[in-house]
Amino acid sequence: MSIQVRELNYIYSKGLPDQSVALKDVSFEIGDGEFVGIIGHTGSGKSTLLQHLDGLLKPTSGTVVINGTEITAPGVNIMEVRRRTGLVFQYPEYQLFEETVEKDVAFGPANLGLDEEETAERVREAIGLVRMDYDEVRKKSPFDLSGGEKRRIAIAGVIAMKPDVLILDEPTAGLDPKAHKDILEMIEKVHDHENNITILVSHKMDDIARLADKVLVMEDGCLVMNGTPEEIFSQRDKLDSMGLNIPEAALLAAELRERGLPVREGIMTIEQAEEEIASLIGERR
Amino acid sequence: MEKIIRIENLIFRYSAGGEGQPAADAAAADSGINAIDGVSIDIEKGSFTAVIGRNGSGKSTLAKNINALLLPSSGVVYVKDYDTRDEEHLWDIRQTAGMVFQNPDNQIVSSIVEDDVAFGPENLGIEPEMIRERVEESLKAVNMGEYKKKAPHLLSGGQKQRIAIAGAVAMKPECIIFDEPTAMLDPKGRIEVMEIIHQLHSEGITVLLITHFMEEAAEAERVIIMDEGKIKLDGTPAQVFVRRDELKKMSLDVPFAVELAHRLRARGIDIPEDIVERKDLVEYICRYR
Amino acid sequence: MLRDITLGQYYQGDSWVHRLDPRIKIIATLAFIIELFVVNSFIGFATAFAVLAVVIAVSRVPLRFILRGLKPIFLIILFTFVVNLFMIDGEILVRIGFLTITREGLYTAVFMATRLILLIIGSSILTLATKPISLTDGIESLMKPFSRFGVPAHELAMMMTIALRFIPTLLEETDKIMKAQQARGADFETGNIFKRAKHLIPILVPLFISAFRIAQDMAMAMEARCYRGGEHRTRMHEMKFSGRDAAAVALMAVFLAIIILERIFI
Repeated sequence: MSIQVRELNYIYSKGLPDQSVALKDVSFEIGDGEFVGIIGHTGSGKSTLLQHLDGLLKPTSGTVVINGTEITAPGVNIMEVRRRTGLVFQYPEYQLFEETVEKDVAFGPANLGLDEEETAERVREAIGLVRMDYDEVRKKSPFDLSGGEKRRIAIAGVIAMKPDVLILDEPTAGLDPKAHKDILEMIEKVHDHENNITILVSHKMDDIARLADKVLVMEDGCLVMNGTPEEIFSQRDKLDSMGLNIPEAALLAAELRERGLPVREGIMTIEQAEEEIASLIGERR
Repeated sequence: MEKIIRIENLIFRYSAGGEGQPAADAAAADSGINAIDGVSIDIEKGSFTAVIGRNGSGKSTLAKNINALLLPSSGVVYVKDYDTRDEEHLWDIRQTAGMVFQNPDNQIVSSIVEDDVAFGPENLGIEPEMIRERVEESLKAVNMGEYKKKAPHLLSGGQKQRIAIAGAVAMKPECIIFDEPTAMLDPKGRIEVMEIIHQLHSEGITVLLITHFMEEAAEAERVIIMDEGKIKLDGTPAQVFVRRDELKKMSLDVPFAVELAHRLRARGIDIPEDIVERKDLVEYICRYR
Repeated sequence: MLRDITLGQYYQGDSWVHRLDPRIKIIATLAFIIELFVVNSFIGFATAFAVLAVVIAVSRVPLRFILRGLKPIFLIILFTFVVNLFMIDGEILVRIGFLTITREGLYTAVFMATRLILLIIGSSILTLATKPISLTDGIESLMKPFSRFGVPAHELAMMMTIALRFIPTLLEETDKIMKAQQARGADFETGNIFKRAKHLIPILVPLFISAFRIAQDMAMAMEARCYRGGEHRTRMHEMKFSGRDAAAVALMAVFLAIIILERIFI
C-alpha cells in the first residue's frame, strides 16, 4: 500500500481577484505502513494538502495515487476514495451528532454501504481501539461524555471505516498533558494494530520525533524538506527561519554543542539526552 | 503588600446541570462532590501567579469564583475588600478583576476590532471621548493598533486573543485572570500572548494565569497546583517542580529541564534543585565539565 | 465557497453617505421603499433612478458591489417578470402555443421588475454604506420610543449586533462540519428532497450545539466585561445630527414631493 503525490498544485479562487496559491508543485511518496509527520506553520498549506489526500479538494493540476488508484482522475468513484482515506479534522468532537455513541461511530461504516452486522462489529472494534469500554458507552449520548472522551469517539468514528490511510490533523489540540499523552499512545497502538499508513499533522515536534518514520515540512504551499526525523531536526537553523522549533531534547543538545561540548547528532528524545549527557560528564555513584 | 484577592475556605458545588459546568464535573456534581473543596489563598497586588491542574481539578471553577461569575457554596471571596456575594459591588468587582477566556472567537462581541475593545468601557458608562482614548491605548498595549478597523474573524487565533486582552485592559482592571488563554492557539500565537501577559505584569497589573502548560507556569513568580478541588502545592516554580513524583501522580508534567535534571540526579549527577529552565541547565552542564 | 455570500456587507469608505446619521439613512430607505409603491408610472421610476444614481455616485461604492446584491434575488425578479408577462389579460401581442403575451402583461412585467430592482438597490446602498454596528445603533435608537410599550429596543439591537458578528464564524463552522461529515462518507448531493433533508441532520445538529456553546461562552464573557443591559450604557460612536443630515432630509422631502406631484398630475 502506498501513496504517490506528483506535482500537486492548488489555487484558491482561481480567476478571481483574491486568488492565491495554496499548493505549489508538491511531490512525495509514502510507503507501506509508514508513519508520516507533516509540520509547517499555520497557512503553510498543510490542511489543503490533507484535503487533497481525501478527495475533498480536486487539484488545479497534478495527481494523487493511493494504492494504485488515481483519486484525482475525473470520474473516480468518490466512495472508493473515502474508503481508502480517513481524515480526522481538528477538534473532531464538534462533528458528533447522533443520539448514541454507537450510532455516531456507525455513521461512517454505514455510509460505506456495509451491512448491519459488519457495521456493529466495526463499531465495537473501533471503540475498543480508542480505549473506551464499549458496553459502558455505547448507549450514552455523545454529548454526555467528557471532552477527552468525545474526541476519542470522534476518532473512533473514522477508524471504524478501516481506512488504508489515516490522517490526523492536530489530534491533541486543546488537550491537557495527560489527555495529550493518552491520545498519542492510542494513535501509536492503532497504527500498529491496523498496519496502515498514518499521517500526523502536529506542532508538537517531540511527538513527531517519537512516532514518525518520515517528516514532511511545508512552507508557503511548497514541500521544502522531506526526510527522517533525525535528518530534519538536525537542521535547526533552517527550521528556525521558518518559525518552526525542534524537539526539546534536540534543542538542548544543539545548545550544548554550541558551547563546545562534543554532543552527538541525532538526539531527539529525553532518554537519548540523558544517556549522552551522563556519558559526557561522567556518572558519580 | 496589599492583598488584592482573598479567598477564605472556599467551597463550591455545581448544582446538577448547572451553567458553565465542565462536563467532567457533571458526574462529580451528581455525586455531591465539591468542585472546590476548601481553598484559601491570598493574591498580592502586582504578583504573577500561575494555577495548574488537570482537567477537573477545579482551576477554572476557581477563576470564575473570583469575578463572581460563580458564587461560593460556602466560604468567602474578597476582591479588593468587596465580598463577591455583595450584589451592590458586583460591577466594581468585575471591573477590578478582568477576565480573558480560552476560546478567542467566543469572547468577541463586535464585527469591528475597535468596537469590541470599546464594549467594556461602554458598559461602564464612560464618556465617548475617554472610550476612544482607552481603545487606542489598549490596542497599543497589545501591539494590535494597526488592526483597529479590521474585522476580527479575519485575524489569527493569537491576534484574536490579543484583542480579547485589549478588551479587558480597556476597563483598567487592577488584576486580570487568564483562563487557559493559550490552550487553543498555535505555538506562534502562544508566544505572542505570553509576551503580552508578561508585559502587562511588568506594567503593574496583577496576573492570575490558569494553565496546564508547565513552560508557562515556570515563568510565574508563584505556582499553585490544584487537584480534586484542593490546593496541593504552593510555592515558587523551583519549589513546586522539584516535587516531581507528586506532580506525576496528579497526571501533571514537569518542564523538560526539570525532568532531565531529575533523571540525571538519579544517576548520581549532582544538579541543583532550583534549576527549572533549559538555559540554566545548559549553563550548569557546561560549567560542570 | 460559503464565504462568498455578501449578505449586505459593508464597503468601507468615508463619503457623505457613509457619514450620514444611520437613523436618517434608515428612515430615508424606508421612505424610498414606500415611495416606490406610491409611484404608478415609469416617470416616477425615472425620478427614483435619478436619486439612486446620485446617492451611489456620492457614496463612491463601486457599481459591482451594488449589482452583486441583485444576484441572490435574480430568480425572484425573473419569476415576477415571467408571471406578469404571461398571466395578465388584455390586448394580445404574441401567441406562443397556449401562452399569450399581452400589452398590459408586458407593461406590468417590466413595471414590477423595475420596482423590485430599484428596491433592492436602494436597500443595498443602506447596508453597503453603513457599518453594521451603526445600523443596529440606529435601529435601537429609532425603537427606543417604543420601549415604553414593551419593545426591548436595546436587547433586540444587541442580538442583531452579535448575530451579524457571528454570521461569518458560523458559515466557516458549517463548512468545517460539512467537510468532516463528507470525510465520513456523507453525501449531500444525491437523492430526492426527503433524503437530502435527512442528510442535513449531521450538519444541523453539530451546528446548533456549536451555536449554544458560543452563546454560553459569550454570555460569560459579556458579564465579565460588566454588561448589564442597555441602561447607563454609553457608545463610543455617537450619533449626532449635522448639516449633512439636514441636507439629506431636505432632499428626501423634495423627492417625496416630486413623486406625489407626478402621481397626481401624470
